[in-house]
Amino acid sequence: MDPKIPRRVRRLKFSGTSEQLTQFFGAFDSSPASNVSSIRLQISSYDDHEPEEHLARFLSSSFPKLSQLDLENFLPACSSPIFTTSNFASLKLSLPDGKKNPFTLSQFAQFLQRHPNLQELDLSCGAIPLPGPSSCFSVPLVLPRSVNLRLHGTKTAILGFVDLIDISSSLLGVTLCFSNKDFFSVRPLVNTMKQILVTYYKRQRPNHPRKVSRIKISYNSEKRRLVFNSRSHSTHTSNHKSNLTFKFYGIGEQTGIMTVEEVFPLFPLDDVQEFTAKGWSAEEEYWYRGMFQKMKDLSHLRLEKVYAPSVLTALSPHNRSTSKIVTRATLIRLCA
Amino acid sequence: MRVDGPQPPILPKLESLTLSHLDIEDCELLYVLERRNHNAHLQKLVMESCIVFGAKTQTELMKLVGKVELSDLRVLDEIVFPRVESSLSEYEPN
Repeated sequence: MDPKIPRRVRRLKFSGTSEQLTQFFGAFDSSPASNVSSIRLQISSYDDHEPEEHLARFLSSSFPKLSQLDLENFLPACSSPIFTTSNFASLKLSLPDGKKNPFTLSQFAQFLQRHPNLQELDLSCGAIPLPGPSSCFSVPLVLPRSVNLRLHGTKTAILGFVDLIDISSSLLGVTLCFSNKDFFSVRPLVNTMKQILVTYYKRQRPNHPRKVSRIKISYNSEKRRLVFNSRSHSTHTSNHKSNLTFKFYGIGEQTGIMTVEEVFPLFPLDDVQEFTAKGWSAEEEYWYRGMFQKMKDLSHLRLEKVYAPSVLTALSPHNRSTSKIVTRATLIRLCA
Repeated sequence: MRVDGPQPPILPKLESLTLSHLDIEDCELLYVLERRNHNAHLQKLVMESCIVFGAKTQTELMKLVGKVELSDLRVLDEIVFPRVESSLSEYEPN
């Protein structure tokens, strides 16, 4: 007789190679697991074994109390009972690029509408359903609960999904991580951010305008990673803060600086109280001065690993044309 | 260094300034901290692992920064003072 999931078990967590999981799940009986509320299942690497059939059989068990599902490197069919009988609060799915996603974007939209209690949605790589040729959503899908949304994938996949979801909801924390093969130049990067910023900040419900209180922009030259993070609050629900984070990988330093110079003014800066610049520097003090003049409420400023003369000149009360002045620090940097 | 005169405050509500891993001229820093015409709300300056050109010692830097009467001054980690001729003579408080 096949083993069953013990009655008292609430959390299931499995991690292993496809061979290990094939053997493990091949031995399980697909009987109801009435108390299981959380499942994490990770295929660490694929070998000659294809565990999908056994995993699909295991996941076709009845999990009436399941609210958290985390599947790494595997996705059952969208008709699987685990998607149709559960009531998810947290859903994390990832699939290697190249593996076929069983969901179309339309099917995933229908799936989301059946899970009104969803509070956390995390989709990585191939798990983000791609828009089809006829995908057109006239009204963005509103997730009724406070949702943290994290997408890690290609520009096409992320933009398609952002078009599906109403990310302007005042209680939404959004993290968008773009894979490093999409952006070789400034223009596509700027256009992508512009499209999302307009959606996030401009397509707001009129009675819940979103105000930005903190912005942090950092560039890591070793990892070639550019990150924008802004924290907002709704004027009507000031206790609830939301975050918007962009992460771009494989970005050259000059591309990063030019992108920051173009994109930064697109954030609503009027109510910003905290600003951090780390690892990148605009070249001209007038750019900083223009940005500082828009941030009239700025009370906390952090400058880390930036080119000091430009930004300090912009902060100075004196109108000094230092772009032509070679300071001692600049001279040493130039001679180095 | 050419000085054309005071301008309106750039950040009239600035309370806290943190400088981390920067190469700074001492006079540039003092211009930023100038209180008479701007930065009236600036109370906190944090410097982390900076290189300060001009000032010769941390004591001298603290003394200079102390002139602007901050209520919270924190110098964290090592501040490096390259042995170069002081530029403080260029700083003229208005």
